[in-house]
Amino acid sequence: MMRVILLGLVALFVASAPVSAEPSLALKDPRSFGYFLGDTLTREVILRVDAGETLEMASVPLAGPVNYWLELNDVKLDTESSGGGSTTYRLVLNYQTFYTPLDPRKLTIPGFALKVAGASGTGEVTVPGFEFISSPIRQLFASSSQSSGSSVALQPDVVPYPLTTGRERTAMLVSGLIALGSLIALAWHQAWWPFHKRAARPFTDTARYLRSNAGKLQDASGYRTALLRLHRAFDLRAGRRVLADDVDGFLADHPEFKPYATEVEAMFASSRQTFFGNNVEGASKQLPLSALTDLSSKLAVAERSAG
Amino acid sequence: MKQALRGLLQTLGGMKTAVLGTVLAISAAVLALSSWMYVDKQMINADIAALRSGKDLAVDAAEAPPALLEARASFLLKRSHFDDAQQYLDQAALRAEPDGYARMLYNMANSRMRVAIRSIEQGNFDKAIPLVQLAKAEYRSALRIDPEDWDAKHNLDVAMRLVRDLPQAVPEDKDDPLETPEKLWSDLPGTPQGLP
Repeated sequence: MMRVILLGLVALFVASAPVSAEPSLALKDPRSFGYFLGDTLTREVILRVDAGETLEMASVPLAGPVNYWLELNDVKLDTESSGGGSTTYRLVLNYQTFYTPLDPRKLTIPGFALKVAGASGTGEVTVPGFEFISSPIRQLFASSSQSSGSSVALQPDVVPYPLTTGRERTAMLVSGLIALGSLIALAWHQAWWPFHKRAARPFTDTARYLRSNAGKLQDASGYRTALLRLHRAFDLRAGRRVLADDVDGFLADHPEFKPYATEVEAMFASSRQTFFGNNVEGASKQLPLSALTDLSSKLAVAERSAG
Repeated sequence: MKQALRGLLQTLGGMKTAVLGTVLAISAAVLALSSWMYVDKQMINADIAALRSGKDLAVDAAEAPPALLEARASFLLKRSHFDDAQQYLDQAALRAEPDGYARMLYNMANSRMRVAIRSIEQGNFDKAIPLVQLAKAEYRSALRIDPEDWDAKHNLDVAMRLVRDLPQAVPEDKDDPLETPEKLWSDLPGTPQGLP
């Protein structure tokens, strides 16, 4: 009785003892039929090894010709560690067959051995070969209706075709339209030609006039002209005549010009001196032509920023 | 609140010129670049068209764009000058797209095959066999780049059979080593089973 219990215990112990598992191998092979010359076959080898074991990289097949009709074009190896310290190697082998069969024929991709190094030495895992059926792509004999020469008829050369220019044309069209649109918008905004005549930018017009005619406006009558131009700009902006007393009302209606209130008032003061006091020298000393030009430029910027 | 909003609007209004100017500058640059590329491609296409129509246009192998290398090689290969075409293939191997290089390899192999077939028809097997072998290698290289190139598969098949069809010129085992060799001798040398 005692012996039976002891045996049972031993059996239990053996069953539950951690057994050093063999490296597990899984294969994902492609279909085994219907191949022609030049076709590629991809084999996937998934090898799982226990903790402390590693795949010897030297045993992984190298890309290159396997034999005279088979080539190994590409070898990819991914390594990932999974739970319990075991490692999974995923080996993707891309073969290409160049066998030219005369009838459907079974071919074999040769197997190989992967070496796994562990604590107790190096073990080998054999990856079996893979058999597949390769078929001819042409009939064996030229048909009798063809002449003898046609059995070696080649497919024609590839004719060099011109480069496609569609992308460049689209880019030219789109960028050209955007450039034209933004140029028109900029011209409108800055009141450039052909939008220089429009009334909505009187200060811009005046500023341009004063800048480009600075030489002609140096004398007394020029100073008057400059003042008149500025007055005209104020009138156009306000939509009515703006006199010195109306300046506060004008600035209230058009707050964008408020930062320049003192300069505007100085301009109206020198205008009064010029036209009513008939004292151009005094006025131009107080507020020279360059100051008028500056003021018109500032007002032009304020005018544009307002809309 | 209202003041802040108005200030923001004014700032944005003031930036209009800068924004429009930037858009104009960028679009003008894109326009200039795409126009330049378009003109460049049109000039290459004019050369390709000239070569296709049979005009013997000299092409500098070291400088020419890959498309022109292909057109020049095609022109030469149509006239069986594959030694002259080799330099364009060498350059294309370095610079061309893989697909373009595969097309050039295919044309090269076709050119060799045409000369080989002519030689065979004239009975000149010694000239034909190395040409067919080179063509096979080039078809293979083209298929390595594009395994779905059916014209290359077809012509490689033709090349393989062409050599196989000439047993006096080709080592027979070259194409058929999968067949088990005939057992000329028994496994036991001591007990012959018949006359050799």
